[in-house]
Amino acid sequence: MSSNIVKIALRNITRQKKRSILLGSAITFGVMIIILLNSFTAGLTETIQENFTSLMGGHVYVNGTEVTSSGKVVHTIGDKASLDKALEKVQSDIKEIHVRTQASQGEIIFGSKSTRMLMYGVDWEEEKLLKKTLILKEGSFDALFDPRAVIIPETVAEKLGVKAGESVLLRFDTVTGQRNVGDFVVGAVSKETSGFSFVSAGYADITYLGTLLGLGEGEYQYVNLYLNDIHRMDAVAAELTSELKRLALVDIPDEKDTENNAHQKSMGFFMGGSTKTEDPWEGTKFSVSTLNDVMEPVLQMINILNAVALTLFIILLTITMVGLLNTFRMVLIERTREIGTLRAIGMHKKDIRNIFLFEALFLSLAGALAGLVIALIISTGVGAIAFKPESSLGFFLLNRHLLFITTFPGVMKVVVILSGMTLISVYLPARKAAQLKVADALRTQY
Amino acid sequence: MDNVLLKIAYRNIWKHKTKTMIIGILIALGILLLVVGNSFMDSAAAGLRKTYIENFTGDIVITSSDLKNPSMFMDGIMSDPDSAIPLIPNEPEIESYLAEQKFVDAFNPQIAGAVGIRHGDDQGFSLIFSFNPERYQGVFKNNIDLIKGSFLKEGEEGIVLSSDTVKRIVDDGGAEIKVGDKILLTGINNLTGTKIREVPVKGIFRFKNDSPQLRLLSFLDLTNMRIINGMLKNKVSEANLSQNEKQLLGQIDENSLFGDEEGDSGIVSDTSEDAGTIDYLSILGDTSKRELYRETDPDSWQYMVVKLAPGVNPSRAIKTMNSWFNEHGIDAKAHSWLEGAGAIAKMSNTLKIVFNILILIIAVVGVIIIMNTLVISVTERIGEIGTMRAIGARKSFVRSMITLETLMITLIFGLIGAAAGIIITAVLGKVGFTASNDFLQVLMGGKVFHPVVSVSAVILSLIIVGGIGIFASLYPVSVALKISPVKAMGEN
Amino acid sequence: MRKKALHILFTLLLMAGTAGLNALTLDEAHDILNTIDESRNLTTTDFSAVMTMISEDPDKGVEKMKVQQFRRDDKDMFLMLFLEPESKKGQGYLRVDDNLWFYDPESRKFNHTSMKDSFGGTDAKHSDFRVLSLAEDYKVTTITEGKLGKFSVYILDLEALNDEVTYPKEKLWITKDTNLVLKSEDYSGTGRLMRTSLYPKYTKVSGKYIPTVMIFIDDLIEGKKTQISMTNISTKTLPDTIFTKSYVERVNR
Repeated sequence: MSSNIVKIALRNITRQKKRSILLGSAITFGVMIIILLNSFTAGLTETIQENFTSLMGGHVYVNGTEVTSSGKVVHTIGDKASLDKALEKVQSDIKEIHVRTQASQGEIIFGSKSTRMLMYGVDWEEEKLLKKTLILKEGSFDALFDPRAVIIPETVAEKLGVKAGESVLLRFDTVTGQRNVGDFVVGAVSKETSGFSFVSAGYADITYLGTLLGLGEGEYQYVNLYLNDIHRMDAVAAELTSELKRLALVDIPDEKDTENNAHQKSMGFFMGGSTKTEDPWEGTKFSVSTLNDVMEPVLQMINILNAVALTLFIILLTITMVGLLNTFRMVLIERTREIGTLRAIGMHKKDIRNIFLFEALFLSLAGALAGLVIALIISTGVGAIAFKPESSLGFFLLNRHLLFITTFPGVMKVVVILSGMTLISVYLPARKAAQLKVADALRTQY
Repeated sequence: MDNVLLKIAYRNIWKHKTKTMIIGILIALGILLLVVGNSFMDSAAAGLRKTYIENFTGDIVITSSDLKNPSMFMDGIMSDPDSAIPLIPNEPEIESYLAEQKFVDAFNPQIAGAVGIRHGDDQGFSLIFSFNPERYQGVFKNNIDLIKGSFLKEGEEGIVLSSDTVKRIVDDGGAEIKVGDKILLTGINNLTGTKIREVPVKGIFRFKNDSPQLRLLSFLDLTNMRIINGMLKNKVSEANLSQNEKQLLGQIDENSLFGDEEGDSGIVSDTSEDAGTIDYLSILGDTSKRELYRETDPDSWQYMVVKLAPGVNPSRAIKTMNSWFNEHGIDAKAHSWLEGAGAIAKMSNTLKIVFNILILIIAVVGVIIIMNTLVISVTERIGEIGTMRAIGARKSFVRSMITLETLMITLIFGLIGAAAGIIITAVLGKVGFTASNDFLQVLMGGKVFHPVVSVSAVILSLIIVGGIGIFASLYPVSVALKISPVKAMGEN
Repeated sequence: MRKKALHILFTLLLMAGTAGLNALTLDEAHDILNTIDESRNLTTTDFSAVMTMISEDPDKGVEKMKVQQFRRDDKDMFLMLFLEPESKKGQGYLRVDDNLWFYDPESRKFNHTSMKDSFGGTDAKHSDFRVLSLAEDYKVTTITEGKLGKFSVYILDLEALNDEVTYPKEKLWITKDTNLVLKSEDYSGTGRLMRTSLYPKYTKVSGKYIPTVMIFIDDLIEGKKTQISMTNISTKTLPDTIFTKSYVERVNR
């Protein structure tokens, strides 16, 4: 019997092709827009996060300080065991772990020109995201096979008048405060994309820079964590801090200065340098900070975008649903006589209702499928366009492109919600149809 | 004839009450959304205007063309301590040019800086804007609330502190800052090094529509700001070197440097122990010349904020100005207010564009769905239309009938929707939204957002409704006209 | 057998020869470092001089700065008054009681400043003015003899003993007779030449040798160089009033 109902529902759809196509296309359009919108905002969120996160090097940062025999405070993480153990606790939250070295107040020199620059030592094999977000003006990542290769920002390159392939020097202080200089080759020049010029930094090979900084083989100063969920970063930082506290020393910022000095603190994080301490400690003293401390506004923006996407989803869904509801009420009016006939030949009320429901469901599923296909075509098309990174879109571009993220669960969510809402909105006309009295229905003239 | 049509349309609407209601509700809903949405967007645009254009950027910001990032918050400068904000070249010339232009309403040159603040033992920090107070208030009318004291006055030394700067000092355990207190300002420049100024606090203020960046701003009189920035009238002359000193410039030849006869006598000279007594009080020698380097340059400015006459297209004005600068060989550049407003404003603006596009998409979806419903309603009446055609109704009659019917529905329900939209916006406006974060605050032009019913939004919505009515009836009409009378009746 | 004896003799001769060349042992060389430290550091007397600093920078051109110095090193006090350029004349840094004050003669106001701040916007840092101790910080690794211009010198290679120093390796050219440093080269840990200093003029004040002309060449940035000359040198005891705020104010009257 139920297969009969399905058959009748399908026949009904094909019987009034024009109307079905119209209604179906409306659903298609709605679904397309919803999917496009969702993947666009998801992409935008991802883009902003990735751009900023890669600028900052991650979501949660751990750095360590140790005191040398002469009483100097040195930035390094010697107690890797404790850190690794603590990291295990938050393992499920972590997407990627990157270790870095850093020459803070370096002076980059080319011929007779020089300028100050922050230089990170990164592991190019590991830091795929960084490679993805850095847009090169000249040179290429291929140059990075040479451990002396660096990527410097466009502003620095302009100031020095240096081009990719030319040699530069970097003068800086080692972790214990000795002047040192390193030979580097400009592997590539990166474009300024974010408008956040205050974080523009150069990138060098982690081991080469580490050696110049006076660190041992495989030693690093900073551990940056990329999380699966950016919103978990405070929780992860807290958990990590308490775990580290159990295993080692942790530098905890005062309650009082969180408000006003958080920013200064986070800026101090860039400064590095070596100082002396009056009361030395044993082993590594860790300190944990998060992207939150630095980039509240970006998170706010992401929240707005998500809110906008949700609002639009609801509005579009409502419009589509109202349209669907209306159409089926009309269908009901139109088919009153037919329903009377069906009932007269012995069909159950329930079956009549189900015919309506199936019809609507098939229609919306077909519409959704078409919508999905069109959305994918459009997003692939738009995603392939290369924009200028310096345009006002700059911060919304991931490596020159708008990013659309269409996920299977995301699409399924839309389809399920749509189907559910379809059934709900058609349920009323369907029940009304089922409730029609046979005699009345047969008599009806519309 | 028209009367007949009207009557039929009217009768049809009443006859198909349910359908009319269904379509009507859709239309009303669509219009409601448009009115509310557009009112929000317009209010937000006004908010952005208030936070920036009417607060500190004007419509156009003119700077030296050497300035890479024209953000008035000195975004680009902060990262590089060596660089200073270049002065606007030929400033008096630019002023007289601007004064002659009809498209310019008002303009005000100003200077920016950053100072450390010391009040007793308490320390703070503030960004500074400095300007001629009367001219400033001529361009930015009523953009601040004075909490205490008074505004700066022409020719008077003093600082008007931002309430946030004061709050931060007090929150750090500092003493309350009162009007009339003297505070020390310290700044560094490349020319005269560290400068300390003692200035009286004239007042404490806050921007009416503030944003996180604006909260850092205090106002300082021109003389003190120019001294701190080292903007002097007399250029510092080149280093005056002695013959010996000149010899040691450039490449050094060690062989000739140590080429005198060997032994102490070659390089060591005796200093007799009591080579005259030092007159400790006249160590500085002639101090009259240093007065030269205390006089500030009254024509030194960094940013020129321009307000345009109402209705002037800003991008065209920028073009006009820049080509004038080019023609006269002046290395100045006009930027849009957005360029001067800094990074957060830029991001907010992009966010606004995204919003606009999304609202447009919703409108398109709405039109399609309304059209769809109309077409369905026509297909339903195929029999009826067929009958009318059979008894001699012309195509034009059917067309007019359906168009008129649609128009009536759209107009009536459009008005209902618009009215509902106005009421909702007004209610929301009364209640107000509180901005939960900085971006929204920038967009809304303040902490609490009161959307205002925008007349243009209502008119625009009604035009759109009319458009939808006509546009949406086009397809149904063509469907209806294709109906052949015989077939239509047969299908019944 | 004969051959073997000859060989021994030859070896002995050779050893004597090298010993003769190496007139200085490492210990003796280290003593030289002590001498240099002693003659340079004026821990027991006051010191005053006018320091002229001329910096050449390929970007900024030539800049001249003239500063009157008053020092009382054993009490960690100093006063520096700008004499040139005119635009900074009268500005002063006063270090007294662990405070570093900056004075602006234009507003006649003092303000605290941090020891970490770079001195008057130059590469020199306040912390660079700390007491030097070659003997404590370095050990001599090799000694050679040579010539610098017309001077016969010992050339000492030094290696840092601790991480207090800025440069882990140094090379000194020292006159044989009076042990004056004529030239020094500063090397990074990787052995790269970073800075060359030349001391072509000295003066003798109350038994101590003080360089009156110093030239610092930045070996990394082409054309970057600083020359410093000292005049009006005196080691006479200074009046206590010099190291006070009121003196700084009065001198600017």
